[in-house]
Amino acid sequence: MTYEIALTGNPNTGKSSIFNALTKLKQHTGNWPGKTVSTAQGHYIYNKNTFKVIDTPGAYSLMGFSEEEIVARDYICFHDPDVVVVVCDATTLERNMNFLFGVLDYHKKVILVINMIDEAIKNGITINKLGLLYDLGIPIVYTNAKENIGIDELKATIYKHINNEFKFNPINISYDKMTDKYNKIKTKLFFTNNKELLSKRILDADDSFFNSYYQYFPNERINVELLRDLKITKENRNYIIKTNFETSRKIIERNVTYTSDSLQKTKNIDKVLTSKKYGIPIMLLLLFVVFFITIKLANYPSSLLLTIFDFIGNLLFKFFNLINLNNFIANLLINGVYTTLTNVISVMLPPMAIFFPFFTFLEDLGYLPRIAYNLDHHFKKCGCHGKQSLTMCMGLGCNASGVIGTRIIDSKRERLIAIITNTFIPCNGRFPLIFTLAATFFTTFPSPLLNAIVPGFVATIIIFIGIMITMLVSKFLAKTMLKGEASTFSLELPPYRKPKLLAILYTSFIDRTLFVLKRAIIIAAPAGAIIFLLSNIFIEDVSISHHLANFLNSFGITIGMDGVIILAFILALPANEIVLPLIIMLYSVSGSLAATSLNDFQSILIDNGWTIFTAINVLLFSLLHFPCSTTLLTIFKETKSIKWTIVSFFIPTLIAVSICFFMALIF
Amino acid sequence: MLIPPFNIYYEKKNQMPLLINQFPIFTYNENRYGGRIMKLCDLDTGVLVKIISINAFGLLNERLMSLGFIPGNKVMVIKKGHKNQLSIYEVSKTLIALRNEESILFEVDY
Repeated sequence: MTYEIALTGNPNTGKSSIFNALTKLKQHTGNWPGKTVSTAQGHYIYNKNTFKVIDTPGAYSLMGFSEEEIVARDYICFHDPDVVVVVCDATTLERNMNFLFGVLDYHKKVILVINMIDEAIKNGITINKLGLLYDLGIPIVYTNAKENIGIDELKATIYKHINNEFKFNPINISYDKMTDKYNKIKTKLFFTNNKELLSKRILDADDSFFNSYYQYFPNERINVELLRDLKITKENRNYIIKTNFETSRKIIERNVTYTSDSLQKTKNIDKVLTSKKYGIPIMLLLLFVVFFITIKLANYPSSLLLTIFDFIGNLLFKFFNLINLNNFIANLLINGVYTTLTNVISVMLPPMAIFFPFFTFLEDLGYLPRIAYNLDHHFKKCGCHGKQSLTMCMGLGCNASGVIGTRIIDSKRERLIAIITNTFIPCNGRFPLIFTLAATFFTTFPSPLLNAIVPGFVATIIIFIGIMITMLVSKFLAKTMLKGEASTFSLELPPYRKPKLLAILYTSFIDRTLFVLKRAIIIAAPAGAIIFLLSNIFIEDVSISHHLANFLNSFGITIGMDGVIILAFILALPANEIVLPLIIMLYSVSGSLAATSLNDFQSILIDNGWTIFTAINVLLFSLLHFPCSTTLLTIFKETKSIKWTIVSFFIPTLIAVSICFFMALIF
Repeated sequence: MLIPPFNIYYEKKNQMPLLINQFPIFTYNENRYGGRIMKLCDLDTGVLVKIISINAFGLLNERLMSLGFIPGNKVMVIKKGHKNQLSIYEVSKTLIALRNEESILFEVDY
């Protein structure tokens, strides 16, 4: 038998952690509300039955305020899963209980999972499980998904509940004031099998519910005319919510005791991290420290990898000679494909492997919502949403996922702004370029201390410029193309949680680094071959790549760079990761590169007329230029409009070109 | 809800006008518990109050309600944002940051 289970709950209660623990998959998790924006699917086998698990995005209620709430509600209501698992955070049971009552309106087979039970124990919260069981009438399981505690019990409970082994009925909240109206509606509803559900929703005048209802049952018609005299107002709905809340408070008061303020620690940390004076400086300092450590440490493994790959490359070349492979093909494979590939790996892997654990650490700690908090009033001034900074943080990982992450913004106008400006935050594909250029061109100072500090400083400034440009462009868009007022905003600040170091290393290394690397390699190998062919096929004694570079050269020089750099940026449209290897390869006369350390990179670049200003211009251009093709595709999927895809291609490009042009004028 | 009759002070010409600092800076009223009704955004850090009503409509109303800002629930001001900064409130054991535009919608029993 195959069964279907839906995981729902408030944001940031650990649904994805439960999902991972059940299915042994590696869905991304993080300590901030809105981390999961789309549904994920997985399955596990228990007692020879297959259980399909669906992880829905977190919702504060099932009333259809925002897109993800509609997704969650429609799934529970119309897809009719065998069991709905409501995941609660043990420390915020009261509010979670409200959500549970919302689910009980739609579905009768519900299991309550009280997650993060270890935190409840640590904070002196005692929960009377039997009492809760008696009051709610649904099975309850304690879990600690991060440590895999209680998962077996959850599996067993799901199995038992599906097979009707529990003989108790879920709580039925009585709405005394409403009973008359409710019964009246019920008698007026004909031609439908869902009387109970419908009458309740008619009572609270839930429009978005009926929109979905007609989609799933196109043949049903509810005669709303008949119901008009019932005076359905906002008050009904408020009454229902209030009654739910009163009920949940009574249940919590009976069964849960708090001995200390579990939020005290968080409040104390917040006093510093979100203070007006220190909030933003601390943020920039953290960024600087992370960059400093990354640049400092990434040098050694990079050089080591380059040397090793060079050694293997030489061996391969000898091997190809030995088997009498055609010289051109051997060169293509070694100097084209292999060298580009290994260069991408050795330039990208070390900084990413060092940077991502830090980033994931801050994410699991719960620092990202504080960034949103600190930057909110600046974003408000620009007429856009405070949660845009959260999507920008996601953009640090990958712009495509940042674009998908904009789903947490409800207003369509502000979401478009966030999508268009997301590319101004360098993604991990562009970080290696920034780190490498910072580490090579900004270390020519006489004092070693400056040499150590300045690269990190440069990287921080680049991010800072990115943030400033994001705000300026957002303001420009909000004033011209996407006019409107800043919409309402509420942000939950989750408690700080101690991150699990091993889990961080695992997710950041295996998941992110290798994923990014895989993408780079898939693009780099063919790109290497293409570049090699372009550089070695001659028209009138000049290679094609030279023709192209010469064609672009005058344009490149006007904006402070040269034709080769522009060509590399254009060729790297599928993946920004390969810009630097492409530049170096195009410079090398034979169309191949033989660099065995970062210093070799620098000398190749300097030989081709690079100065520190060229480096600055390249940094700025790579920060501000058009998004990669994956991101553009995602933008098209998310906005479903060619116009906005084109806009989000040209606005960054125009800005990049004009800023580089001004830089070239100044120097 | 009764609004304090400010205009009286100006109608009677012979009477000395009240000094500015004698005016209550908030609109207030005696409610049935004997407390005052204030706006949530006027409160200072560390104050624990009970929500009386929300003046929001439609979707905003629902979002605020589902976050725990329900009439009858208690709210504590954890941090008062300066100028345009967000203020942090504790409600139902969670920390929620709101802009002034939203917190002005709440009438609370001080």
